Amino acid sequence: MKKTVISVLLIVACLFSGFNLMGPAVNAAKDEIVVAVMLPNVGDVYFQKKWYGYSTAAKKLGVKALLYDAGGYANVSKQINQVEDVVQKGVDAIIYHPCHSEAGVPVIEEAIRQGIKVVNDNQPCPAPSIHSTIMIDFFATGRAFAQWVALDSKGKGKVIILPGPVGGDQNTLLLQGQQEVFRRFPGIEILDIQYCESNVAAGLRVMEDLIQAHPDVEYITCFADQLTQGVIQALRAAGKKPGEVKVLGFNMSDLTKSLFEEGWITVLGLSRPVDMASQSMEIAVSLVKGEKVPEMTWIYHDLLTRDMLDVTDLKPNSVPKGWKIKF
Amino acid sequence: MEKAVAETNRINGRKFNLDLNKYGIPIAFVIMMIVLTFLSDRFLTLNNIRNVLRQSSILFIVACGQTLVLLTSGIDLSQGSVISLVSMTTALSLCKYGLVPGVIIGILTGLACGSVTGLLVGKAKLLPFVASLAMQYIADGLALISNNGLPVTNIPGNVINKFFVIGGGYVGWFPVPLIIAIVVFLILYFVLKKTKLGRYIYAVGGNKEAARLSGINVDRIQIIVFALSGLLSALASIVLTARMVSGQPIVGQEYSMQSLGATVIGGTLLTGGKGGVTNTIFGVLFIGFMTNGLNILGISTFVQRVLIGAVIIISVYMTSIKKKRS
Repeated sequence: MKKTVISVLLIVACLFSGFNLMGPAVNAAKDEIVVAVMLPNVGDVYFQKKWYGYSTAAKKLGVKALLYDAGGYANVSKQINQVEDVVQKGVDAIIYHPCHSEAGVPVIEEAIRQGIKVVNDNQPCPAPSIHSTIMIDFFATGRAFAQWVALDSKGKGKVIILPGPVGGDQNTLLLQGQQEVFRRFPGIEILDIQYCESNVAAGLRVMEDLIQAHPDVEYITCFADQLTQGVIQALRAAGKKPGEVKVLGFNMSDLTKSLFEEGWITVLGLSRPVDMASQSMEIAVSLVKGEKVPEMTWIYHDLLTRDMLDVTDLKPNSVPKGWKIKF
Repeated sequence: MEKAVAETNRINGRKFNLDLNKYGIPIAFVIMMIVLTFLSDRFLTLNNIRNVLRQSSILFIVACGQTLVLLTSGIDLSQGSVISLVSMTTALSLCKYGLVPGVIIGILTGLACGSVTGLLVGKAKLLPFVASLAMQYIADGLALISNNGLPVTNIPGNVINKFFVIGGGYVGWFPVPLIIAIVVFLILYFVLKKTKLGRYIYAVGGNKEAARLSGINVDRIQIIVFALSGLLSALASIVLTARMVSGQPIVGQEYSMQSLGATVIGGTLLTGGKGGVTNTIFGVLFIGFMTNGLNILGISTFVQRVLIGAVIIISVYMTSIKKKRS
């Protein structure tokens, strides 16, 4: 009986595999440009804004954008599998925000060998054949944060640095940028540096402990906005008042914006994710069409304080009210 | 008893018994393959099959370790963290000592972690859940401490070129990770079916007390299966590290749950004593081809998670029906 079942299964499988084992029947007859967007963590509002930018630009350009989410920065291996799968799918271009820079190099090189155009978005991927890179300069952001702290504290502040998820290049660069400036201000004391995941729960947990250890903290520099939200919940629970501890973070979800308006966040770094994503999509489509594109595009965070809120155009940092990702 | 479980069907006047509980997953696997083939002309191509087999090899190696532990009615939650730790120790050792010592140190790290968990279960009599949970935290922490939380990316070029073959090389048409997975399967299949150790593993999972009374050294069997689980996690980690050409301190986080999922989907019982590495092949391939097919179709990765969860529920439900009936 067992042999019969296995034989039947094998025969059925072989019959169906005969459909296209030697490759897809319809290959060249493609009208539509397909761009795969590989993101590390769509649970983060920042990436949802970016997806709004990618999908809106794709619609405008008449191309199809497909979203692939690794589900967290730790899922390096999953993202590698996703890249391999879209290579098999035969997309025209990949916009690639790696979970980690080095890990994806072999698969990205393979994708390029298969004729797929690759735009490296935001987190550096050192694959030598990448066609174009668009990148936020996190080292510059780190420097800008540190310079603001040095100026505000007149060179005598007590600082906690939360650079975000461990192992990410942008997180490392953000930290290194701050350290590079702070080391020139001997009066500034770095109380602690703690890596943690970029979500509210992780920020809350880490900050609850740090506030016990360092109740005299004056400045906290944070990675993206969900982590910052967790930090503020911990400060609130510890009985701190808005602005009593000056929090520096970046990106602007609705909640972060209201925390900023209430004075819980003193400085916000804005990188215009919607604009950046549109730009990435335009570059990817231009590459597929054989047009010339810049090899490197740098994006810098604008530092925003409350007194600048009314005079700053926030559209490139936000999505229309009520917009949601469709699954 | 098998006949009582079997469903009786009649086709063309001929009577045959089809045990859906036993062949449910293989049948569902073939149906899924057929559906996905109809939906995408990119799915059932030789290149894509090779792609999925290569991707699934790593999970299969890890899931084999989980299968051994589950067969003794244990559970190993530390596999993912051991993968992260081995990734770091291997990469750091590759930088310092070169290829062969690097790989050996990686394997020994995994074996040591597994052996410690095994000793905690077998000798200190901790519950497998607790012992492996503790090892998960320890290995996680050590992986982060090993390089101050940073990945290891400075493996020398002459070493990395050779090391990459383990994760990204080919022998003819066959990806090297697949060959490693096949060798692991053949060894474990032989051990479980043809050796005394294999029989003891099933006996311990079936009924610990009965196994003890019949003279089996239950403690030793538990230590061995956890040590093998650590060893196989290390092997998987080395393949993974070679694919990524870098040591990553958090890369293994999802593997414990994935290996449990694949093993359970394959039909190995959480209560021990039933199942095996052949079942695990189907569990791993089911997840591998389903995820790949959905990726090719451009279905959201959020939806994929829901589907994998649903498959686990259906699979465990079918297995539990079978158990109740028997």
